[in-house]
Amino acid sequence: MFEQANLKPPVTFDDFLNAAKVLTVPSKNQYGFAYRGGSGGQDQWYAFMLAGGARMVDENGNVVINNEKAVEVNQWYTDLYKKYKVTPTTAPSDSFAQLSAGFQAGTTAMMAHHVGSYETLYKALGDKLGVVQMPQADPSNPATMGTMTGNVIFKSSKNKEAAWKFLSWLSGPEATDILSQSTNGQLPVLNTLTSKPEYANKNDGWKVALASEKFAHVWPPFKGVGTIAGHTWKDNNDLALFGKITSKEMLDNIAKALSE
Amino acid sequence: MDKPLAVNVQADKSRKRKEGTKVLYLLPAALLIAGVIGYPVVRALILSLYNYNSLSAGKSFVGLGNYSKILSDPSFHKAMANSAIWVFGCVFLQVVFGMLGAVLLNQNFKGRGLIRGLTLIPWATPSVLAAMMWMWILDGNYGLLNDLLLRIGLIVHPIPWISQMGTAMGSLILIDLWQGIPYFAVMLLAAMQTISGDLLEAAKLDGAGPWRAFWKVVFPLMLPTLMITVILRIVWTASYMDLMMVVTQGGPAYSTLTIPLIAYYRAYTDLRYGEATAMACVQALILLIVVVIYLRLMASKGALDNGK
Repeated sequence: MFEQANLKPPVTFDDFLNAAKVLTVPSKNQYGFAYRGGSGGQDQWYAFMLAGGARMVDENGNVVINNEKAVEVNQWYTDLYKKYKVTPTTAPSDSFAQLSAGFQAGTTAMMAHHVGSYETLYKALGDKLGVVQMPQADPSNPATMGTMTGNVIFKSSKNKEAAWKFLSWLSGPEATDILSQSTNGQLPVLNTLTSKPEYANKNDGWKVALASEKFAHVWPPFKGVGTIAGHTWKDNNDLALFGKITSKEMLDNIAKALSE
Repeated sequence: MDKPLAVNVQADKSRKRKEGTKVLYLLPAALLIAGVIGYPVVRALILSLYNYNSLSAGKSFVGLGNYSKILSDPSFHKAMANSAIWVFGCVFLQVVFGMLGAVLLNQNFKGRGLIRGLTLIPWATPSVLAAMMWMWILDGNYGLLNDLLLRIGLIVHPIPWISQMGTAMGSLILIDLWQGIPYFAVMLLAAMQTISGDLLEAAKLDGAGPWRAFWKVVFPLMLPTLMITVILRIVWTASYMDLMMVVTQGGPAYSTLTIPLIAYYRAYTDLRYGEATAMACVQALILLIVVVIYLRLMASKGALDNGK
């Protein structure tokens, strides 16, 4: 698609938006970007927010997801559906199944996802599949989203020490190696493992993802993250997409849920 | 003189024993109901008066605080309104089309038994499977429904049925109709078949046409079945959230958020169990009121005395 339209893979937000506009041809049921507004969409959104220069919390732990910068990036992101119309009209409810099907069928030209979908997409698309790092508002200062899962020890746990010991082992090279090679394997985060050829040379998806780890951010360890991932993000993103609330109001609601 | 008295005492004793045996027979079921339904209901009522988050140890008593909180929460208002539309839309249309289906299935035609059996397939389909299937039928990019409407020229652009506020609830009701109409049709068909042919013949002899015979003879006799089916469906539909959960997650923009779904989110993603149980209690209370009014209305119309 990119070759046919004489486009280069996007590096900046501007490249990305331009490519999305060029590759959107509604009469052919073809759209530039697979916007994930359905379940799980908060991770894609957060990756774009980070790449745009917004942060959940600052160095002092203050919630800043509703500051001026964040409002601007969020406006840009929701405008992909609302103003630029470079996403399928189904964007508010699209989740992984729709994204994957649309991308494989050529309904969408670009989608953002983690390494978990690479094998399936490569099998379906072969050499037509290209992988690039998240486009950035400022490529000299890149950022992306790095994790969706984590382990916790409950404050009320009766066996904190044993739990700590288990989690320490789980984060060590031996367990990470096993986990990373399983079906639902996640990227290893230990340098001793990332340099291993079975990871470093696994496929293009893994190469790009491992390189992105250097500037990846995680969801902050706040109680409200569960609520945001559960429904607060989706509720407010829907309202913003339909123009019922502003970008600022959406982020204020998310900031409130995060601080609770 | 003594003898009859002795007999009386005997009779009294045996009656008492019979009563005792009845209670004994009922006991296992009563205990089961008390344990499986009664205990959780009481626990829920108590929990709705507490502030309880499973992540922080302990819970604090807040009285009716949870109730006043949810009753002033705009998203709960929206959920109540959506629940009303959802229940009324689903049940009313199921009655109408179920009745039509029952009349059709009651006709004499070839392969009637087979068709009657096949009719039940939607009802027997697991709800998540039905939801997944319909998600793709209604899909805004490659859905079968859009394809069909485009081919016959009814629409020019595909419609994102489940992705816009105006059509999402209607789409869910459509799925529920697909599942629920066969149930109504088969229940009503069963009621229709218990009606003796003599009655219809008598009506015919008295000069009643098919339309009149249906409303004056068939319908009143079917009323008790219809009534109980409607009550069951109201309660089931009000508590049914599988479809919203799989297809729309209550969206877009709260347009398909119903009471059970918001209660589920409040409990399992926000971890505010007190508020969630308060929401469930509010729904139970509303349902109770609706069912009582409905039963009274039907009783006054004589629907409870088997149409006689």
